[in-house]
Amino acid sequence: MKPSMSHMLLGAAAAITRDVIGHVNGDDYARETLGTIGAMLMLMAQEAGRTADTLVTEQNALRALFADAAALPLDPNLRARLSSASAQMGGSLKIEDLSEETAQLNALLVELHEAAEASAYDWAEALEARIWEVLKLGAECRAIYLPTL
Amino acid sequence: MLTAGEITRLEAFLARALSDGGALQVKNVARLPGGASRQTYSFDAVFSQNGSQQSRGFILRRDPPDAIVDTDRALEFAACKSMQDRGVPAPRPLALVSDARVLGAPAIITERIENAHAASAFHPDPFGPHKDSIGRDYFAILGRIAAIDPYVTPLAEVCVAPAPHECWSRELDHWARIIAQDALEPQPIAQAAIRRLRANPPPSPPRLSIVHGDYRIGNFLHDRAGVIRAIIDWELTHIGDPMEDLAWALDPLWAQGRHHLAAGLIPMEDAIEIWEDEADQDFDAERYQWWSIFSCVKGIAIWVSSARALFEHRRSDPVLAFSSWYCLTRHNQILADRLSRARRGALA
Repeated sequence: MKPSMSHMLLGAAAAITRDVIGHVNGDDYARETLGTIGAMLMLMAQEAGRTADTLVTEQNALRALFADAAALPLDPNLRARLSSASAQMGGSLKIEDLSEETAQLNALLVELHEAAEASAYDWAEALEARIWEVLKLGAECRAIYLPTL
Repeated sequence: MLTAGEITRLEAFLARALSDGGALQVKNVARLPGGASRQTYSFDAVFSQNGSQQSRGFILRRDPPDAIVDTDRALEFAACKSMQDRGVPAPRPLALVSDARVLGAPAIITERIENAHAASAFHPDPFGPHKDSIGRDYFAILGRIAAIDPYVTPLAEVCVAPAPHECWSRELDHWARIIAQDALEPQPIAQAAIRRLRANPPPSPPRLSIVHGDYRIGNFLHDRAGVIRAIIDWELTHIGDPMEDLAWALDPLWAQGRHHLAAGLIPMEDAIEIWEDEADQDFDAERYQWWSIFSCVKGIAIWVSSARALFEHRRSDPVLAFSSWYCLTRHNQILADRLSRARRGALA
């Protein structure tokens, strides 16, 4: 098995922050810029192995939410789009394609959230709570840790 | 870097401002790190004044080819000027270079503050044993900024003060517009927060203050011995509710993992007490709560703008890449956590 992308990125970050940076004397701008590039590589190492999983997990949660919301007494046009989006199955696993799909689902989520907020019914309150669970899940899936140098 | 032609024009410009007619030489030009909003250079100017040869250090802050947050140099210049002799350490402004032909872009020149260092965002303990002293200084200075009567400062000449009841809407409208313009993808958490903030406006501040607009760890210089030597990066300064600055300074993003401490420096109650003493006004929990959620929205606006600049290849500064990734993720996390726990339709 070859080293993973995360291993490679961490190796590159270590080379920059532990070795190369020490050879840059007297140029604070160059040192700080190299440090930031090193930190970026560490962030990328955290993300590299999990991006597709994060996006698919989030999409599954959004589609499940939309499927349930489509059964609620919302605007018929919105319900139809929720139903359609919940039934779509992702095809490509390329990160760009997955990201584009997530963006489309999130645009629909914003509409759904606004509709839930505008209603005083109990079902709307429950729906809003569910939307926040999904938003929180998405935010937590993406959590990254601040590298220290 | 500054080109040879730009240095020549800078020398001519400064000679008119500083020298008694003799030549002026710019030496030791070095780009400084930090501040993605401006390109920052340090240099020495050697010139003759009152018959004697002098060498003085200066800082030049020039607009990058495409600024992330569109701000006005005149505003930054007036803000620095407004702090002089008012107990707030800030760079002493020397010249405003509005004519882009001089340096390729508008710029401001300030005196260089010696023995002054910025904290690295990646250092786990940037102030070491001086953390407490820096923390006390940090919140005392913020209080002193809030205590200044903005209407008697140069800032009032370049900055329109809102009516007290409009402070919140002016800021929220501005940053919500930036998110709408610059976000590369929907921002469902920020958009929900914006709706929630609009539905729950804060009380009006009893009096308006100067608001630095980006008062955080990283935007001050210290002497590595526990004293803050200067507050920098005044380009987002405006007149508004002082709770705005306090909330931004206390945003968990800047605490670098030490969330139990205000700005990762000192206990929260100490920070607020110090601020109240210096600001000569009371902390207002209701207003603070509104501005603390607003801070996350404002942060998201800045981070999505950074992301767009990178995406469109207009800028390549790795700080923008870092903030458009780490800071955006973190602010979304903070907002989602807070608003998911709040009562329906409320801020808490």
